[in-house]
Amino acid sequence: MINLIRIELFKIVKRKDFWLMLSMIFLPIMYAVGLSNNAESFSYEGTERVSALGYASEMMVFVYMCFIYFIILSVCVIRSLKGEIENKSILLYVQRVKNRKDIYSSKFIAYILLLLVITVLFIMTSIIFYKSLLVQRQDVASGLLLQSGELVSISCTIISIILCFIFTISVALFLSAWLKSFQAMGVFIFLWLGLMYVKEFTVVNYLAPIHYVELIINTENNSVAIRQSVYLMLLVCVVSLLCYELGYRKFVRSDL
Amino acid sequence: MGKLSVRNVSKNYGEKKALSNLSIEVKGGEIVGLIGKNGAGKTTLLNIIAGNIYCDSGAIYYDDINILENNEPRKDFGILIEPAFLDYLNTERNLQLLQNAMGIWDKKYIRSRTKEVLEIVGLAGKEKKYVKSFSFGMKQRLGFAQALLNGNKLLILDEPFVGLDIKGREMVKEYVKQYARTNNVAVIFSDHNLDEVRSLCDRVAVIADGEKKYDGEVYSRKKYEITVSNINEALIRDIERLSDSFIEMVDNKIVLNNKDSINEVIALLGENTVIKDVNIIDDSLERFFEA
Repeated sequence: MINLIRIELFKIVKRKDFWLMLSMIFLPIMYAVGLSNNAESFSYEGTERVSALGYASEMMVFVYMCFIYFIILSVCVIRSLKGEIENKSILLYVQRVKNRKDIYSSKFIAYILLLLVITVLFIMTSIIFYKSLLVQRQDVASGLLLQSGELVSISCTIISIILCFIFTISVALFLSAWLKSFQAMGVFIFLWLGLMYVKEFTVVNYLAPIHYVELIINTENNSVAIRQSVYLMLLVCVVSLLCYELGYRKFVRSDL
Repeated sequence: MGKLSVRNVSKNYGEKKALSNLSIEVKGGEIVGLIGKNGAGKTTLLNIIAGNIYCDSGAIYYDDINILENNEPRKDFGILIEPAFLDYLNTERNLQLLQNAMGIWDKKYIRSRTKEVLEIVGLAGKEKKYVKSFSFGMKQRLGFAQALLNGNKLLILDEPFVGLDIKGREMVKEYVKQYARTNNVAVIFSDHNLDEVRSLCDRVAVIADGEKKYDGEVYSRKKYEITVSNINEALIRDIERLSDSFIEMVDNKIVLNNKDSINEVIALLGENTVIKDVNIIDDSLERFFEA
């Protein structure tokens, strides 16, 4: 299985569509450059000065609000499985593994690993550009890495957004096992838009990861943030497990 | 000695029977050709053996292992069914990833093995070329190279000569023959061209409508059919005794497999028996391709 994960990581990196996800690293760079140069297009609306990790967290929220990155990730994941089934390149690996389930699992794990790498890169880039550029704006930046009492809310915010990406990977992989590429992409987009809509309604809003993320972003109460993070984690775990089970079983049973 | 044994395999696509209780065996060192019209079930059978699709019933054994339940033996099957590649990678990387999937990560070994198989298939020097720039024939050669990487026990080749020039075809034929004999590798391949099949395989199996119609030597012969006005049991026995080439008696037709026996048989016919017709029937494998 480790062999397959290494191969999947190599293929994802070489398949340049995933590099689009790296473009989110330009958001903190662009924002820091814009703010430090007092560009008109960039403004800071916060009541307090922001720390470095606070800045990284705010940029993560910005990425989350640009829901395009969830779409890009879903497209990459769908192309990774269904694309290989459709162009038959997956047959090269089917005979070389003990169990087809390993192929499905390795894609899932590889995407999560790369997602974590991109998140770390994103946070490091945010901190670097905060320290090098944004600190020039003393009305915006406090110059500190972390302000007191911020750790819990920043951690919950970043973790909740990562969980949304994990939700995306699970659902996209599941859809690609059952549907053709284009259908899977379309269903995912409608699903994501639908979840943005259902978060407005009581009861069903508990099924939407977006509902929990917004509660976490908007609260100043750490215990609320932690509680909502745990609920989101449970939701993502249940959905991911269900998608994984249904997805890999379909893939294992399918004629390729 | 490795032996592939396909036992009563059936496969349906909805109401269409792609394969119906088909059985075939291929021993190590043997080359078996599958022939049949388009849609006969040849590729379906090869895909089932390769593990790309599932059969509805039946079993496939390699030695004593049922490969429908245990994928392990398939790691040593070299498969060329539909050449498929990662076209965003070059030739070398494509072959490297396949070896990585087999658990081989030694860069030196991978490089030398890659060079070796590319030389065999006539793609030496093309390591850095991207597969998307290859012609169809080059992709077919690369597919053959992929099959050779791990075809230690069985080679499964679906129309391996398609798209190849004359030199390429000769290369594949010579290499497959030598490889099978030297390494005791079983080879099963399909093709439409009977000349290619004749020149390469030890045995041929004819597939039609999902069933095996013939399994044996490659042959090309004619049958001679003498239609007579009347015939009796005594005459039939005389013909059977005296003529080695007698095949059968169907209605009033005496069927022989040697034209030299025609005069012998005519001599046995009495004054009361009139010869109505003599026909030459093509009994070669080509008849399975006729509508």
